[in-house]
Amino acid sequence: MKNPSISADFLPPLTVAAARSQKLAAVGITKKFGGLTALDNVSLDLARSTIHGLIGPNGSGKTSLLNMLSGYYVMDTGDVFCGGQNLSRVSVEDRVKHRIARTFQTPRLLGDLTSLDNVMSGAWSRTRSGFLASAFALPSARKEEREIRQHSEKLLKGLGLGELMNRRANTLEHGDQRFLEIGRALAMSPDYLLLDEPAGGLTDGEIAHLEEVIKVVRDAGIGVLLVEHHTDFVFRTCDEVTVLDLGKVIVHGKPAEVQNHEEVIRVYLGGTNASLAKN
Amino acid sequence: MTHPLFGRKGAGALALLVAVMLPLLSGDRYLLHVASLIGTYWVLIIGLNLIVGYMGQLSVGHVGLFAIGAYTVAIGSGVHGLSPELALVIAGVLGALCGFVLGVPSLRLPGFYFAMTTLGLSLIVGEVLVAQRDVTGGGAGLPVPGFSGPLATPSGLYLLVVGVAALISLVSWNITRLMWGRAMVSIRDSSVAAAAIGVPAGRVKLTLFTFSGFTAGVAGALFGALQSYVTPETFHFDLGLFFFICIVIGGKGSILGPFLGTVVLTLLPEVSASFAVVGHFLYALVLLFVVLLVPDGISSVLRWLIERFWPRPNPPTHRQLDLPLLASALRSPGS
Repeated sequence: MKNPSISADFLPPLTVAAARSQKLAAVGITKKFGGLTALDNVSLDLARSTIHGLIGPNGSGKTSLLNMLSGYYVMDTGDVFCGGQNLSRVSVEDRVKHRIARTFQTPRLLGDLTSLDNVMSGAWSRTRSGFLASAFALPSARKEEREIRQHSEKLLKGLGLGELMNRRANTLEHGDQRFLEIGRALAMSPDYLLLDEPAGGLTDGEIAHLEEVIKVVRDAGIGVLLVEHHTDFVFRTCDEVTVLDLGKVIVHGKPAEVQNHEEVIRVYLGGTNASLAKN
Repeated sequence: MTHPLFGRKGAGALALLVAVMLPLLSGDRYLLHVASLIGTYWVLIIGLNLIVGYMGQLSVGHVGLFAIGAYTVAIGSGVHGLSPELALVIAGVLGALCGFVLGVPSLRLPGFYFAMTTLGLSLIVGEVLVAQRDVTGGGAGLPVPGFSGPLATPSGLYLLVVGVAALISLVSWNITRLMWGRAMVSIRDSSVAAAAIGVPAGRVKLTLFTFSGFTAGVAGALFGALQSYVTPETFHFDLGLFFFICIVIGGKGSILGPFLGTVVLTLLPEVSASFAVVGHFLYALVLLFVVLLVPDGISSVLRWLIERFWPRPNPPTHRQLDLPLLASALRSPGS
């Protein structure tokens, strides 16, 4: 499976297409937890320079899918491809090398370290200095550290956290922690950024900021997967939207199409189309 | 000199220099011995601090590596006639190898389960030292030859200990302040975050166990030379616990804290020796006091003092995005 072209003849056409595309692609993923089917033959493409929304009611499998893409869960069947390589057996740590970064529903920061150190920690996989070079603080290691620091400072200032750079992360307010975690993910210089309910617990003002940030990230060529509950925010921000229900994809398309799709209104909003129809 | 921080740092360095030179200048042999002892303990604790204080791996087994270092000099130099300086280097290398082995169970076992395997190692080393009488001298122990030349005198040995301790402290500080330090803290505080930023936890752990084994081996060799005689009894499990407690009292994620912990806990039994009956009581009292009143250790007190006397202004509550800067940062990802 290392080289998908070799075994292409034996694979279904959809898998072959995904293996050859320059996208982050989930193909035919099924995952069961005990008797419960969390995901049932789900496929999803995340292209670069795109904001792709993933919505659905509680328990529809959104976060499970994100956990498969980032490698935290092992799927029962199906594959994950990134830029033509099969990542299905690649560990979470090694997926970072394939430039896949993510955030969590509850920010997973290093609370004892400063905001700046948290963002800089994101650059671990880009760090070339070995243990001995760091231990003796060789010029190469110091130069690399300086570059990472400058880049991280720019990210923090860009995200509006410049004043909080030297604060310990666990003293930050919830909204700031969310932006800080996005900063750490961006310090990995990802091609794909997977955001797990980034608007959770944010104020309206912060959600507006989040929207602006996500669009800048998209315009920098990064593919953003936005797993969210706030449908307004998703339809306003995304280029494409996929809707999951009970572990299956019900519809995928442009926000305007998805928004007015009969099935979405029925399943996702329990039959009332009021909140979607008002646009 | 005008910068206040530089002034404080300069004053700190001067104070440290005076403190280091005091035992030498005092001419008090006993004081010099105790100061050397603190130094040798500290060489081990620097390495162990990276394991316990920065990576959160509970090891009480480093006393086994300490014993291996001391016996390497006793056997290599005392029995087989190697130069003590060469034996010191071999002790470091052997300690590093054993440190690597000690670290292997940490890849699988969490918290206290791992601590028990390290306890196992320290017990095994103790048993082997007693049982292998032909090699180790058994329960009677072995004499350890001193270093040669200027290092043979107590003050020469003290300067060697200070030099080694300073060098390893510097190396340890570099490790913690650069990228490896962040990786270590991520292993300690959140395995989920560590994986998310791509930290290969196993490789980082084994590298640092190897390093801590090296410092433990070197510390053991220095300790052997300082005591000039080693017995298995010296490297009791209690000593391993002592090293561990120095770090716990010092506080996690700090180098200065565990250093102060080492100084205080080494001095305490010496100071209270004149009233031996209450010595252990005093020791226990200090432990209880620290654990109950400052559970985060000495370093948290230092941090509290700094924040109390040099408070930072509150940041503005309104956040201002700088989208052009963000875009430029995303275009040029640095290295």
